[in-house]
Amino acid sequence: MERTESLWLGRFWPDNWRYHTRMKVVGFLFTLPVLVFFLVFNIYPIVSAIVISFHEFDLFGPMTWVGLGNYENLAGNKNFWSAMRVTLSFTLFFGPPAWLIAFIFASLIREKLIGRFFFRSVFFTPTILSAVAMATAWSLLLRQNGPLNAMLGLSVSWLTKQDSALWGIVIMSVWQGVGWFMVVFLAGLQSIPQTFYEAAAIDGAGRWRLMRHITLPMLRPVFAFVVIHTIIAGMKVFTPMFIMTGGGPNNATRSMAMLIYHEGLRDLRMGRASAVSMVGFVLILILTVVQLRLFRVHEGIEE
Amino acid sequence: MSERSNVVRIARFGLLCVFAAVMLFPMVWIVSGSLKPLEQVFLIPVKWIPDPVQWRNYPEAWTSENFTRNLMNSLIVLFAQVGIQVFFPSLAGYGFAKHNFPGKEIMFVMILGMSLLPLQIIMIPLFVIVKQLGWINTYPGLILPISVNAFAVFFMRQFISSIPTEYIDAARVDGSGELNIFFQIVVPMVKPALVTLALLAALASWDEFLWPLIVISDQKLATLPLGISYLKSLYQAPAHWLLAVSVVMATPLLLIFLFAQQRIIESAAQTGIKG
Repeated sequence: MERTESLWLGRFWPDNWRYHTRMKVVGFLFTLPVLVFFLVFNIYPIVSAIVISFHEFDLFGPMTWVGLGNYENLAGNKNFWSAMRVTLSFTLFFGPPAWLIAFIFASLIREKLIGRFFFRSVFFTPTILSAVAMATAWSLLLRQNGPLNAMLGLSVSWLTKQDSALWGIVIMSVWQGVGWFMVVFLAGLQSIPQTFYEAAAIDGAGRWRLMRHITLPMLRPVFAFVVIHTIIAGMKVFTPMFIMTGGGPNNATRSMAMLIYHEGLRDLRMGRASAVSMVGFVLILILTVVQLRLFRVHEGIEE
Repeated sequence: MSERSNVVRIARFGLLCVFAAVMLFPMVWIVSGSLKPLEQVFLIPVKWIPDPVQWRNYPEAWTSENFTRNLMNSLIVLFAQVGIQVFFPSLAGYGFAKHNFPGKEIMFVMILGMSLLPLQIIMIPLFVIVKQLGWINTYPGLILPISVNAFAVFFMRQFISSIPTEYIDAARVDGSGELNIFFQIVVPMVKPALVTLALLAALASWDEFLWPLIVISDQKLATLPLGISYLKSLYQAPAHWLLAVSVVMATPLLLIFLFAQQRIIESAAQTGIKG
């Protein structure tokens, strides 16, 4: 396709540029705005986070080089370890129960059934509702005189006690999170060819064996996807903590993301906050590599 | 139909009803509480039907903070972000799908990599940059830094790749410029993808909390989520008001969901719109 007629910006091209050269430039121009965006708002910040993490910086004064000082400080900093513990606990207490419940939901509405569409909507709706609004409302639901205690016959002051506050947030998060997991599981279940089940049923396999020998193994890549997403979600969790407990009581619900916010934007210790960010960044990188490995294996099987 | 399978069926249905009740209970309580007099909100046993129904909670809660202003801000941010999120990734998607230029693959992989970089990790330097740009407490600061996400670029490239190149080549032979091709051939053919993208962008923008919290300290520029958090942080904010504004905040999301359920669930399964 050798042509010289008007291209986009036709008149402005140097006369001696050939069609293919022009097309390459045009193609690049299409991607340019997005490229600039990512350079300015993603790449530059992450590089800048690395740089700031080696400095002491309070936003107003000059940056002072402290080498690995911020990282050394983290190693012995109880706030840092507490935030890591909160993040890990949140992930562990939130993930497995949410997966299990979501899996049960997905299995129940997998087959044709009256009201299937309705149930799917009901289970998914909390996921779509505003995180901020639901966190606000749940801080009332979880009050000592609130309806959750009334229904369960308890009288726990969920969010104001150090040993139950994280549980309160976990309950809310499971309620909001199961819908998404369910939808992921449903998609996974629907991708299992029906013939597998038919063949096994002819061989006389019962429900439980179908589950054990077909469903669960076939869903392995879906489980891997879900696990990694949960871990990353744990590292990102911020809004429920900020709204429901502010990270308290006594830092019992201050997650990693919240620690970054507090250190950097409340206490203006940008260097230390960036060092925490870098720890999170490295964790995410590791997880991503693991995820790529897992998915490559999975694709290899499918093809 | 055997008797046993009928029993299983009924048991399954019953179980689902119980689960649905559990999942619905907080939502019902929230809506019902938002219509009760304050002293009834925490009555035990729970009073599910408010009596009397106190509609005035809504206007009272709405005027207790500057929620009209917050709503305007949220809408400005939403329309701007939806526009940016639909337009620029589509342009880039066309570039990546139907053009060749040196460095294309590397650029694309790099952009994909950016989808793994949550705001939580880069919030400190991003704040510093926005401050240097003089964008703290401004609309550009509120809108731009989180307006494009890498997933959108990937998503549009996938869709545009599926357009047969013959259409585009034919137009090129006819002498159409590339921008014309983009608007007259590519855009009409990927309309469903654009709608999905716009919906996802709208859902995310409406509920975005962390970034506005970081760049906005001036209450005049606060968005709805910030407004709610201000009301919530008041000492003893009235519960029925909190519930009322929560309902107001959540309702548009619910409506979008009901209107585009299939689309949203499908893309949720692929991408994880939450978390």
